[in-house]
Amino acid sequence: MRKDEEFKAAQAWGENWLERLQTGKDEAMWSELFTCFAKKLRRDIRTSLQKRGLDPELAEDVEQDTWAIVAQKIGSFVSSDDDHDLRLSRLYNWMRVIALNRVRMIRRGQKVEPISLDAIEETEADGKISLDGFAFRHELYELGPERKLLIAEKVHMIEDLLQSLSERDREILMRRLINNEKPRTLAAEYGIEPRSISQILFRTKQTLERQRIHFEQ
Amino acid sequence: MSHYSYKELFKQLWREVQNRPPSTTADQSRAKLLGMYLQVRLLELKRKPQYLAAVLDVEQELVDAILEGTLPASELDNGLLEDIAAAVKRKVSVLQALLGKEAFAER
Repeated sequence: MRKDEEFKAAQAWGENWLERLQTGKDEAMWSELFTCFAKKLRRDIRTSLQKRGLDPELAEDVEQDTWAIVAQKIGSFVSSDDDHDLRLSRLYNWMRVIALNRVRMIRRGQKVEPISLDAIEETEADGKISLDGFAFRHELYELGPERKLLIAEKVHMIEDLLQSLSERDREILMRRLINNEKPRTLAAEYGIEPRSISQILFRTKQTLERQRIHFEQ
Repeated sequence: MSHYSYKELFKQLWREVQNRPPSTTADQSRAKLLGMYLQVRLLELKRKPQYLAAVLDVEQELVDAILEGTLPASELDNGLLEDIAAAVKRKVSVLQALLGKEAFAER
């Protein structure tokens, strides 16, 4: 049986809390869920990153991505348990594995040698090299005609998205994705709050993700 | 301690809830199919789920969620499928087909 402090508040949620999360845009219920799990989730993400030798600063990205996926996919969460505590525990475990999977994605992505920003800037022509760097960084370059066609379409999609961003937002996104520069470093350089960097990244990544899903369908 | 606030994070979450596309349990049927296939494959290989966790170098809970088909299907990306395919000695295209994804060219 769970004993965490974070779960105690959930005792007063009532019986239909899962339905409220799944079927309605019930801000109060989402706020309850967030209050209950956010700190614990953050701790678990940082622990997982540290265990894999990854920068704990990456927790911010993982956390944002995880909550976004939880919001999008809560409708597919199933628990046949009648017991309130067990259902809650299963929901947290579901959220946790989404976060752990995001950590895995980062680690897998970091196996590719990052391209230095200096090298990109030296040869950059209308952002073309930066985009190539992005594609390479995310292992989009593969052999095979079908794969090449898919990659070409994906690169066009990313190009379109990047063009829709302001020059500053585009630069921040590329520097974060390609060179793994920390939000705090970027914020200091651009003279804005670190949370503004997070917001820019969150917004653009979600747009990219939605376009990617649309593209794959 | 992280420099970003919970308040800001909740605002982002709430924006996402308001914009979310419809998602139903039907989305998970393919992920469950993949999970069942992998369970059978591990039995054939006389391997336990712990083997998969060790090979993929991930937490056991993550492997359990993949085998039970509870990890959202959208999270089963090609990188993960490639790693799993290598671990269970099957072509990645088989796993992609089970998920209803278009198979990419073989490596």
